[in-house]
Amino acid sequence: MSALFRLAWASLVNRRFTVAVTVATIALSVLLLLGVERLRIEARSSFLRTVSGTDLIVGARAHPVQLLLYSVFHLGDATNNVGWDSVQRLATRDDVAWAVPISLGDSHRGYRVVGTTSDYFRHLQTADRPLAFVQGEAFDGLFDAVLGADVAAKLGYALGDSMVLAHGTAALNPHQHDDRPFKVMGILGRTGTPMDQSVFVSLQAIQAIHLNWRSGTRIGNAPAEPTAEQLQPSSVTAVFVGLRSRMATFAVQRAVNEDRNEPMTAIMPGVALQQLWSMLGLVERALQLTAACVVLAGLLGMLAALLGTLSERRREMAILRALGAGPTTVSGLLLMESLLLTVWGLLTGLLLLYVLTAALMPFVLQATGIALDLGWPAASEWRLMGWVLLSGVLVGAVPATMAYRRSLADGMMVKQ
Amino acid sequence: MTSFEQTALRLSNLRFAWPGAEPLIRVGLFELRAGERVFLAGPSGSGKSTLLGLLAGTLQPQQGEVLIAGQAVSRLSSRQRDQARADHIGVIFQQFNLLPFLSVLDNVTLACRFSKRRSARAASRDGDIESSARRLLGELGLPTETWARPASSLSVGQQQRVAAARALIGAPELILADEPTSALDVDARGDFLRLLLDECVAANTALLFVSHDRSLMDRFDRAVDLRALQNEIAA
Repeated sequence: MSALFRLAWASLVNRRFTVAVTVATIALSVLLLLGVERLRIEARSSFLRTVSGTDLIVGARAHPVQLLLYSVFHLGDATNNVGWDSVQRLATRDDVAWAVPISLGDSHRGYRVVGTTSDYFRHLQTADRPLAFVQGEAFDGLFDAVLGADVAAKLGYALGDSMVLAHGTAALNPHQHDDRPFKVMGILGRTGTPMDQSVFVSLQAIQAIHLNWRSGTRIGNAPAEPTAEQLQPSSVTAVFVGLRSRMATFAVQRAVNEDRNEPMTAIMPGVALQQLWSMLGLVERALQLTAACVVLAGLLGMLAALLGTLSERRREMAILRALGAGPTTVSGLLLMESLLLTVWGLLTGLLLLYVLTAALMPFVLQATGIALDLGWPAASEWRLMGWVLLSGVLVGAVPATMAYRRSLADGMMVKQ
Repeated sequence: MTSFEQTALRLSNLRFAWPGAEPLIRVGLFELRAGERVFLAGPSGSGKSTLLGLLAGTLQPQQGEVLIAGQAVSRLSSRQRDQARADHIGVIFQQFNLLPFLSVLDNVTLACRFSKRRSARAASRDGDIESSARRLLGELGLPTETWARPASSLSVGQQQRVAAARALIGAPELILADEPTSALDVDARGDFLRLLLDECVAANTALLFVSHDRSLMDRFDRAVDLRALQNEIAA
């Protein structure tokens, strides 16, 4: 075995240029395979932890995924609102610990505005961590705003800056609530979720800036001193609900879904996120399949390189046969070479993955909110590497078998 | 009649034919005593390569027996024949004897990697196989500075000497040399042959030297013509 290993090693070192190209091909394909896998794992876990600490999300009757999309991801709009009476009924149930309503519909330079209560910052969590302010604090006055990390960073806002909200959600919007500017009171830490791209104001503020609006058009200026009654919302878009006991989740969900006063839907965010992710599963599969094909291409490159040397190495094999090596040893030599090439490719690919991960970590976090980590390969990554190794040996079996047949036929003599 | 112990090679009633062809090899009796140096002449096409394949055990005769160092190799399995070849036979080809990616020294010791027996013999004579390889390379006149170099950097004459050192290491009972001098010029040919023959005597290794260059045959104990050998049985 060790003689075989030494021979294979020396033979590969002798052909170092071809070997380097082959190893690089395998390494790059392994990098892609493992990179896709790692991104997939990270994206999935980051996605599934978009909302945590919330037991139910309640909105007007809708498909669970649709409700999730507009309430959590701020994608699309709600077809209907939830009446304030229903919010009150929900919030005062014994088994409900807290209920945080949100009101969507306005925007600021393309970023969604979320009207809510200051409880939002106390109760909502992402990735099992509560929201944290990097600067300032929750809104207090009527025209105070809290910014998500991306909004503050991209638009260059600092505490105390003033900003104007737009009516509707279009990025370039002619209808501005410029009669009621807001003041930046707080900036949230980065969460890697749609919260980073949101502007938070109080529910009352949403009411206040719409007091002088009828049918999407502004009439005069908003009243300078609106009354409490004027600021009371009549409906909200959705409600985030925390329960006193997880055990009550299904009971509350059913109660909401079967409410006779108003058609509503309650979803468990974890379940809905899982559903949404599995809808995206096809993309995931396609990515994995592509990466697997690239690995196969890499290994076929190795096959071509090994087959190419087979003719010129016929003499080499005849020499080994003359020295007493059997055809099994000769084919074992080729198998050992493909094993070495695959292992080198795997190790180089893994090294590249870590180097690249370390280099790209800050940028990926910035761009996608996905926090890459430099830990040991995950179980699924070990499994993929195992498959690559096995495929490498299987591919190597082709030239090994050919070498076996040839050396058996040639014996010590190579026919010219 | 020589005893088995003193016989390096013995062929009896050997018959071999390639599939669908007339028998190419027909040898009644052919023997090499231990340490005997024999010149085997034969024109091309007379079956020299086939005969060497039969002796080395990479080919199996349809009939008859091949005894190497008293062992009937023709009755062994192909794996056992490979082992017998590693243990008892050194081979020198016309050219391209060496693995180009190994150093000169590694090429010589490679013969011991496939045979514990030869490895042990080399070690018992010179301490270890590396020392044995160094001694042989020195005796065959290969400059010390070439020993660590890749075999491919040597001249053809030097490569043939390395091949001889590899065939001799661990003192096998028999060396099969297939036209080892035909790629060499006249001066190198003489030197090489002298060194090879001397080393065979020193190691008491029998040598079957196959060549069509009859000018060399005087330097051997005996010269045999392959065609005459074939005719013996036919007669």
